[in-house]
Amino acid sequence: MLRNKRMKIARVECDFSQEQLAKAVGVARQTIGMIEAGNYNPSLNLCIAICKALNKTLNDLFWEEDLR
Amino acid sequence: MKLFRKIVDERQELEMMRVERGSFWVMLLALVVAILVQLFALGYDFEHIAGEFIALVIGAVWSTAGYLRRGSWDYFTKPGVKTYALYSLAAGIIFGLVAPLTRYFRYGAPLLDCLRVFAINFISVYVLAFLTLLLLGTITKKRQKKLQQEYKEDK
Repeated sequence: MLRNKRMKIARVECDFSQEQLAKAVGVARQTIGMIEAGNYNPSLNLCIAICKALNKTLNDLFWEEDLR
Repeated sequence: MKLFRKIVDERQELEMMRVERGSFWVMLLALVVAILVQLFALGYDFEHIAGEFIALVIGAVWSTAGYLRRGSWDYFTKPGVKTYALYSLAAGIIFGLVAPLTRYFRYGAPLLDCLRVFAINFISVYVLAFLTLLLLGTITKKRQKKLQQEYKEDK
């Protein structure tokens, strides 16, 4: 799995810590860390919740251009 | 108010389910081994292993019912005659060997007797397993068809 740098950048841009984002979407901080590290594939529901919390679209954060 | 509110997220739940799945199969296998050892190697009566047997049956029925309800079969094969034949062969060999091996090593029974016992046990287990799998496979296929209809694309 690839690291999700875009999600990390978007989180930092929103001035969110991992802890704050985790609280906003209702998951553990470790889960956010693992998604950013590419060690966990979140469900579509969680992806949407993260996108809403960070004001981004699914394409912005989770679409892999290289795979097309 | 719910007595127990889930406080784990989807990743934690998935990881816990993976651990629980592993432990379920280990327990199920351990129960089978414990029952076979007690019955055949130690020579216990059925009443001595009734508790383990009931636990094994509950676990097996629970998981089988869950699989049937969701139209699931197993991780590696699809329901079909080849699958039933293969699994029945494995069951026949494994469970067919237990009694003759016990007779041979524990009671020193003649080899020919043991072979005869093996043949009878093998055929009995093979036929029983095949029929059971045939029944379960047929129900699974029917359930899969029903679920496919349920989630059919709108025209």
